[in-house]
Amino acid sequence: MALPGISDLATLAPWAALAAGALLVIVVDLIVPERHARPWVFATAAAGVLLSGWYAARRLGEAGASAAFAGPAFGGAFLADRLSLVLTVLVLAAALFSVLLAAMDKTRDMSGYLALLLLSALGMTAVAGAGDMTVVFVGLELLSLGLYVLVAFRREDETAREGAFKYFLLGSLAAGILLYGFALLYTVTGDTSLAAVARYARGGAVGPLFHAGFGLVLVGFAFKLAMAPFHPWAPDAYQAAPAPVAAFMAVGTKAAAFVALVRFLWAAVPADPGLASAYMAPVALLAGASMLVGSLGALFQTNVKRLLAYSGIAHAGYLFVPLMSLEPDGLGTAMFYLFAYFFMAVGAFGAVAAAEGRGEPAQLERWQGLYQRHPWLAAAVALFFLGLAGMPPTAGFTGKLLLIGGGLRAGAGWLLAAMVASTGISAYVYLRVISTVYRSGQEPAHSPGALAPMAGGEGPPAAPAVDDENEWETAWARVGTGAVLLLAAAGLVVLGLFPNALLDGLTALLPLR
Amino acid sequence: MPGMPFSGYVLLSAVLFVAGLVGVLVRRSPLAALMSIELMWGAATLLFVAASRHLAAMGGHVFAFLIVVVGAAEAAIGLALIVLIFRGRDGADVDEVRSLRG
Repeated sequence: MALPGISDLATLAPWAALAAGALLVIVVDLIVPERHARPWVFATAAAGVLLSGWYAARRLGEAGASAAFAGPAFGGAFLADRLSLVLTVLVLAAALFSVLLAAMDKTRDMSGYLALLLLSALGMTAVAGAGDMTVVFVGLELLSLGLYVLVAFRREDETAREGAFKYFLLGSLAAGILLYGFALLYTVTGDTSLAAVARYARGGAVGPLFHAGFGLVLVGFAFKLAMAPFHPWAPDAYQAAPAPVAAFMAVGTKAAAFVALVRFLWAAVPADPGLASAYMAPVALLAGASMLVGSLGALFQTNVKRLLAYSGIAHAGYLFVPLMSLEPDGLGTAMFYLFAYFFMAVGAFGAVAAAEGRGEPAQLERWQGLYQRHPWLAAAVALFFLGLAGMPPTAGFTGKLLLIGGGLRAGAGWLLAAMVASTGISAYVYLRVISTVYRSGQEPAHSPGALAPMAGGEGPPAAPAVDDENEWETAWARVGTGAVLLLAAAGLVVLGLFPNALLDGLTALLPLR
Repeated sequence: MPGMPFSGYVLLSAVLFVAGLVGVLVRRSPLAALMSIELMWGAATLLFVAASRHLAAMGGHVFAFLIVVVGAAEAAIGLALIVLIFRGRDGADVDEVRSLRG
């Protein structure tokens, strides 16, 4: 194996920029006087994300649509191929939106918050580009460790601490299971690279230790993807997390763990057709269970963030429908849906963040009559939840259509039926939210724009004395949130009407198996 | 490696892993749960090192070091969260952490 050289570092520019951004955020906070640090910290974080995105987009442009393009770095331990780059763009967009939404947060220590956000994003991109089990593990832990702390960020809030603790406990358990699976795979393949796993899986007889290792790794990924029955941490963590973090977790973690699991399946599923279908059966079961648990669980939720968490569980299941035959076309469709889900989830969580910033806690009954108080916000909620329900003209509809087409081609069978049933049930849930928002509230409308939290609500801590700077910051925060909602809405509709614009770039992300 | 054959190490690590898994599911104290999880990580580390020795390859040794480093970071965050959540309560019991449900 050749030693890593300067060309490896050139390949890694997008990720190096992101890491540098995360560290600079902390440095800037140390240099700039505390009173003025806030805007500088935000600007540094946004600049790091944008620079990283610029590098990634440029490399993606160089790659074109050629399947042959691959940029293995560090002896194949990190794969800077088109799949990595596409996912990096997605994660960076989610990170940028979260940074913009976080401007609403009145917490003092924003540098820690933003640095952890960027480092988690780095972990996500590392997981997705991993060509080696060590990188999968380190990347997963980098993203998780950052998110454990971010979920607990409003530490004066007891639910935040509790959600973070549950997330941590199940997350470390998942990491332990994943690690033991990796150890078993290493024992039989003799190398930690996924390429060695692929060689073993295609090279004749597959031993029992390999079966066990595959099963444990699958369970570990299912935990991280919040697939049923390994999902119970997700609703608690999402409810406890600040809304921008929840948006980032929902999209970023799901996308990264999904891509890593796909890479793993690509390598580890044996060539023998009988054995391959036996290996894909538990994946199909996990996906089907997630769809049903996600849509049925959402029925009884009164907290909007919890509801969105269950919706995320169901959507994790949908992603696997076109992948049952492990073909590059199916992966393209799933990635398209991931982008659609990105706009819907970031938009929906952004609406929650905007509502919380205006003193409307994320309790469904408190959202009654939202259209009278904040008509634009209510319209945004309606659009994003219509998207989640899979209604045209949003990308939710187009994406679901493509998934079903992909599922038919891949021979997903009963999984398609489960998806249709789950979509039907969740449509009721999402439409109920919209009807709540557009039902007139009996209680007198709260004073518009009030920042004070409602008694007993879950709103952010009251902003003390509103001085000049604070007012200016609130105005900026409003602009940031508005921009996120607008961009997400535009993306959702444009992607719904012109799916080919994105879909053409998502062909042949991985070679044929 | 005189003495124990390689299959002995596989068996030992499997026993440690299952013991840790059972511990997480059964023990109600968050500290005991954390220790059980550490046991599972330890089982994986043991298997990596033993397999690395058995195969005369370095990959497993490298992985074992990574597990140790990441495990330290993980434990630091875990203990911080436990202190944060159980400060001001009488005892530490995972079943008492239940204001979030549904």
